[in-house]
Amino acid sequence: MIPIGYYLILSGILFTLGIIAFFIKKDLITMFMSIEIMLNSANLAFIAFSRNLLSINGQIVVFFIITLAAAEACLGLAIILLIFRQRKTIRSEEINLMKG
Amino acid sequence: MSYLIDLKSISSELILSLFAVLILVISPFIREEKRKFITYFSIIGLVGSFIALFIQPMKESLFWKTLTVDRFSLYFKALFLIATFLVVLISRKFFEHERYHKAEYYFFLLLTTVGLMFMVSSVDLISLYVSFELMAISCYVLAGFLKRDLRSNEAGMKYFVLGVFSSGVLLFGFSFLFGLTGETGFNKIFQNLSNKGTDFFLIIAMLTIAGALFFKIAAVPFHMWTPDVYEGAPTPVTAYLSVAPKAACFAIFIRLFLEVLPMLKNEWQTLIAWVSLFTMTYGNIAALTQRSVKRMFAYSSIAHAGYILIGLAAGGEFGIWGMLYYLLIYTFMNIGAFSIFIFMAKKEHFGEEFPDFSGLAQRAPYFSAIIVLILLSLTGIPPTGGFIAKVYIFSAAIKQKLYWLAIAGVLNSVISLYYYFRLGMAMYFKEPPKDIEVKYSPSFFLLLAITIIGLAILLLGIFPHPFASMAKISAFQFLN
Amino acid sequence: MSLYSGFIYFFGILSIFLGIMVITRKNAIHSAVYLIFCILSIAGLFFLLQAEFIAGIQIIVYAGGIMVIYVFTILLIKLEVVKGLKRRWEIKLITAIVFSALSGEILYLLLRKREALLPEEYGIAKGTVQAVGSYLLRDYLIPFEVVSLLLLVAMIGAIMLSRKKV
Repeated sequence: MIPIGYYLILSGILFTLGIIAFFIKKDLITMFMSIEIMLNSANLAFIAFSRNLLSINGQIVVFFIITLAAAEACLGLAIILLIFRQRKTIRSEEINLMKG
Repeated sequence: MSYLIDLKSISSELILSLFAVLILVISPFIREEKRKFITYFSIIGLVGSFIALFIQPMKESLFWKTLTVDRFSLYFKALFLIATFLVVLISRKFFEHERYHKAEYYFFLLLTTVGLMFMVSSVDLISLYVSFELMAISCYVLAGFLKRDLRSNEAGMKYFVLGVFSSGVLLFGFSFLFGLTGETGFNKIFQNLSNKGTDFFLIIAMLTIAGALFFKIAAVPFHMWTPDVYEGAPTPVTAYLSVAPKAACFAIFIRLFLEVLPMLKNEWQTLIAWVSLFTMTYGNIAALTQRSVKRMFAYSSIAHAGYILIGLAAGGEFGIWGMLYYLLIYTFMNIGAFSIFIFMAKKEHFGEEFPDFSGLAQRAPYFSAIIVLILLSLTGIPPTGGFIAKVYIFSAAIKQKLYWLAIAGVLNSVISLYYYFRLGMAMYFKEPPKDIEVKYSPSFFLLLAITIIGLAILLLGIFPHPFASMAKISAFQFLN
Repeated sequence: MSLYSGFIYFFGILSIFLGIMVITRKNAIHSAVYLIFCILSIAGLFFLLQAEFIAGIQIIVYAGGIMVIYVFTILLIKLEVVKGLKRRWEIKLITAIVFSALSGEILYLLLRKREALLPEEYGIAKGTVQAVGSYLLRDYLIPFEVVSLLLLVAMIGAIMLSRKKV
């Protein structure tokens, strides 16, 4: 059988990929997608722990995380649409009016 | 049906969410000119919820140990309701001037408060995370509420992107906390962890959770969003964001670190002491060179987060109740500080730069006097509440032999004197510019809010005893 | 190696591969499609870990709901192909620090002594709809109700921000 460490490594790799993509990507949409990858890695860790410890709580957490991810995605994409309508760009570096 | 009795203990949250949903339902039936009615309606909701706080029974565990209603959470709930009340008072003038007075604003504001209230009474990772997100998501909408204003929706976007990132990091920390114990209740996690020794993963969990909370309270390595968001967001929202979510995150810090992770006390105390040193120094030094007063107050609120963290780093009796007392006075003075811009109406938007304030004392003596009171309190000079709060916090640091931190705090207060009094100088000793484009235009609600704030600052400074003992009782459960 | 662990390795490696594809594509719509498949392969892992309900939710809500909103948004704003990456040095520094810290953690995990093997079956708690549902509506009643408020906030907020009329 597969030890718990395998899942943790997998989840750690996915989390790292998400963080790297968040910092190097230019447009807002791919930055949001990298956040989805991070959330998925946390989900994987919760499910693996829940299986390992014979506790169903982890699955409940994942249920809530998926719901919250849906709410966040819907709001975030609304903000992207708003920004795009006004500035015709969604590159994160160009959206910078305030400095000081 | 045992849980029906538990509903009594959360009646203040229930009242507030009921009013929030009612506002949404009745708003289409109210004509544009009668929008004032919504303001009164939300004030009624807030007052009702505040009264319910004193009537509802306290109970250690509710709803299968997901919530608790103790003195600590009640103290914070009262604080949030006061903050929301003041923010509602200063909101109407602002949004009417921007021609965007919408009922949805009050809906989001009340539901953010509900999220905060659930947050401070959570004793379970799941209910904590869910209410944290309720608070966060409504804050993102509030920050970007003025759709036509480019600065506001830029603020909403920045807050959203970094906020979602930080909540992902928080979740990663929670997953380790869960994985080490298999439990989600704070009590059970603590029992389970104290049987084991410290683990490598426990340190990672502590660091990630602390990082996500540092983000929300705008402490130094994660402060970069603060000036932009505070400058761009609508002014009443800025006043709210700089006070209520911050206070809630300090409450979570206290509860999580003292109830769940006391075995890592040495590690997190060192971490927080250094973070607080960098936070207050950075906030004060960056505030020195600002041209916009609103941005200067944004940096000053970073510095204040640093002062409050000293209390957590010191811990002990004075530390925790010093923090609670500081948060109370901070609520009044920071909402006061941000509300002054709403008095200064321009043709479009509001006066937010130093020249807009020059010679104000001749035109509005009462208002200027209260601004000076707020500035004195922010600096921490005797007849005001800010002084008492700083005395508690710094003496806590001295009791725990953190002399360097206390000295750094005092030095920082001296630095802050300079930039706060740049504003005071502009008001009292400079001539008003020839072509005045800023109009001093108070309204009844604004004057009421600023008077309450002024009285509270004086009261907390001259008769601190009843409030301090209230803070002490609320902090009591963490003292032994 | 049994068929079971073969499947687990397959889905694990597949999801890493797809994750890398998501972050290296230049066109956002390609990234979105790869992300859908990445989410599906993680759902496969959930099935193998006996969280059947959550796996179904992952496919229906995540891959079928959330990702469709992403694709719609990308089509709505006619995304120009964004070439290259950010050039600022502090971003490179942050990336380097995060990357080395997390790869250190993964190495540490690899070198650590092997943990106990996973049990074959759940003792009592299985991730069926019945088990998860009874927990949701009993032990976690309050979070469940708070989530309903949260969805209301997200819905009203999204409608308010994205409609054209001000």
